[in-house]
Amino acid sequence: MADTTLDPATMAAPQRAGGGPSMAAIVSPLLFFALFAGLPFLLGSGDTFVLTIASRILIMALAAMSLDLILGYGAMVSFGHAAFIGIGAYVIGIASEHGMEEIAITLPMTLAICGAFALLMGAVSVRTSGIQFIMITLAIGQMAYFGATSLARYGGDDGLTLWGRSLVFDTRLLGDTTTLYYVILATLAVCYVLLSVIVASRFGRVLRGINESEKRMEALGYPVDRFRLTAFVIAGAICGVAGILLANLTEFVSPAYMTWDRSADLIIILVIGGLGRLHGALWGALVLLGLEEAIPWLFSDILAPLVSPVEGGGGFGAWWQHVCAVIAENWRVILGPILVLVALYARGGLVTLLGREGRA
Amino acid sequence: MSALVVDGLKKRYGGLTVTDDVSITVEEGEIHAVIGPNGAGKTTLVKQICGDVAPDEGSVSLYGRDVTHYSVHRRAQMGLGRTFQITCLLEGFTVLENVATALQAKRGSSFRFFRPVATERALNDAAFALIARVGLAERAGERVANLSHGEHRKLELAVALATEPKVLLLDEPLAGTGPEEVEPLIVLLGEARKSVPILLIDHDMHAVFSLAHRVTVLVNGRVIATGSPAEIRTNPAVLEAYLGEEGELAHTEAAGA
Repeated sequence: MADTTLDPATMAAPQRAGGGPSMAAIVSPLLFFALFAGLPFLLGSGDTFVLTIASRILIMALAAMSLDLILGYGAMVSFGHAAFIGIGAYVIGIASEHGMEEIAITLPMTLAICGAFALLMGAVSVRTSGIQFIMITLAIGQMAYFGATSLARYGGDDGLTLWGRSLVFDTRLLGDTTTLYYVILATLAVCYVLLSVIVASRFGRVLRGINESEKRMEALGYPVDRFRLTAFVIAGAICGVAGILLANLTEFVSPAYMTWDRSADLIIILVIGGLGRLHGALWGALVLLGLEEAIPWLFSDILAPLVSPVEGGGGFGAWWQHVCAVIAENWRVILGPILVLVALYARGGLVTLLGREGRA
Repeated sequence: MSALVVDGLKKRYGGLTVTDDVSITVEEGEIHAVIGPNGAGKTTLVKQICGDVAPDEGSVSLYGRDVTHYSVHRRAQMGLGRTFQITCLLEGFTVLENVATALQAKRGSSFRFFRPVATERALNDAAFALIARVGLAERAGERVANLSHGEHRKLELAVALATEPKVLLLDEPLAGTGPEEVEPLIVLLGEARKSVPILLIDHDMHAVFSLAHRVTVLVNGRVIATGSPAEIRTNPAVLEAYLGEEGELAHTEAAGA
């Protein structure tokens, strides 16, 4: 065998995104960011409706991507991750209520508070696994939710309307919806690069190793729990940033941001897009939130008018319109079969359709 | 000072005593083998030495330090390396990555978040040297999931050596290997002994008698004999235990004579 094939540097390249990436791992995020960067030009000015939906997609992508670090790379199925979106949003809401709107102050505050909450949640959960881990993260997530509903001073159940969007070094930069959109997009891009770097680092290799075999990593001398806890804190802090962005987008903060089905949505995004790849979160968020908008529109505006009820009501037409209205209202009826199809035919998530990555 | 001292270890599960007052020492520079028929308590003994299972009584010491209450990873950090009876590798990683991950545990902090680890020349070169030593150089870029069973056993050994152990615990390193794969592994183990004392758990008699300096025989959780391979071969209690179970020892003896 020729010596040229035995260069250690090329053989150490990790098989998954984050190290020696495959074509798909390079093309997929570039395509996503190019698409979203160009969107405002396609829409023309004044179309804030689509831009707001796109902003929500980007924010959910960021939250799901942070979850991917612990779920996809660390095999920790957290059912309480949306709590960090909520906490991030509440930091902005409560600070704003007290007259503090400067992002240069509220961002570090959010990172510290979400990091501390993640430390707490992680400290009691990382020792466990499987159903136990799910139950603990779910329970702590619900504690955060009920904690928020009990904040009578800050709106309780009803939530809290912000005085305005955050100040950036004392300017109203974020006041413009298109500017806010680009700030969200840039934040997502920065976090994507940051997480990609972390995954490819020494720390990331240990995390991936724990995912492969916890027993082996312990026997090598790695304190497994400490690595898991660190990943948990990083993920929590980054998810808090998604909360800041969401609060600024909606100018509203609500306990509904951290219900457990929001946490489930983040997991669904990862399952649709692909776990353990970071850019899977991008496409997953686009598909999930896209379907949430597209299905009701499809059924109420396109399919329902196809068959009109006969004069005087009744008949097939009336039944058809009723069915369309029900589906439009309960769009998850369609989401279910789609999830089943993804689980059956694109087991690594949609990004595997872009090309085979090394993952077996 | 002895590399590894197991002193008066006892473990009971309900009414069943699986480890009954077991004492074993491994001196520097030696291979100490532990053999025993199925159900002798070898696996439970290994688990207690590594820290997977806490003993009811007795102690485990590494170079004079009592590690009985240390966790698995702390024992590993202190220099207890091991291989697994059932191969335990990072299946999705390449051969080189497996060894580099093991090296990384001892060389510098792993709480480093920014530099891409795949480009760390020092780790890769050291890992490649170990892989070449066990004869897997041409498979270095292969995923572990694609290796043959014999290659898995070799990689287990390379990974264990990469942790730079002060004592090496080999749990049936030859288990399930074909006849043509056993010989090179035995040569490898003999070489490994020069750099690190080894506690070898196995029931491949041929390998045990050709490699070990001392042999301890475990039956029903109890040590029935310890001595040189020559002494063990002729020990009546050992012969009885093995003849009673399988007759394997007598068979090996006849074949080796």
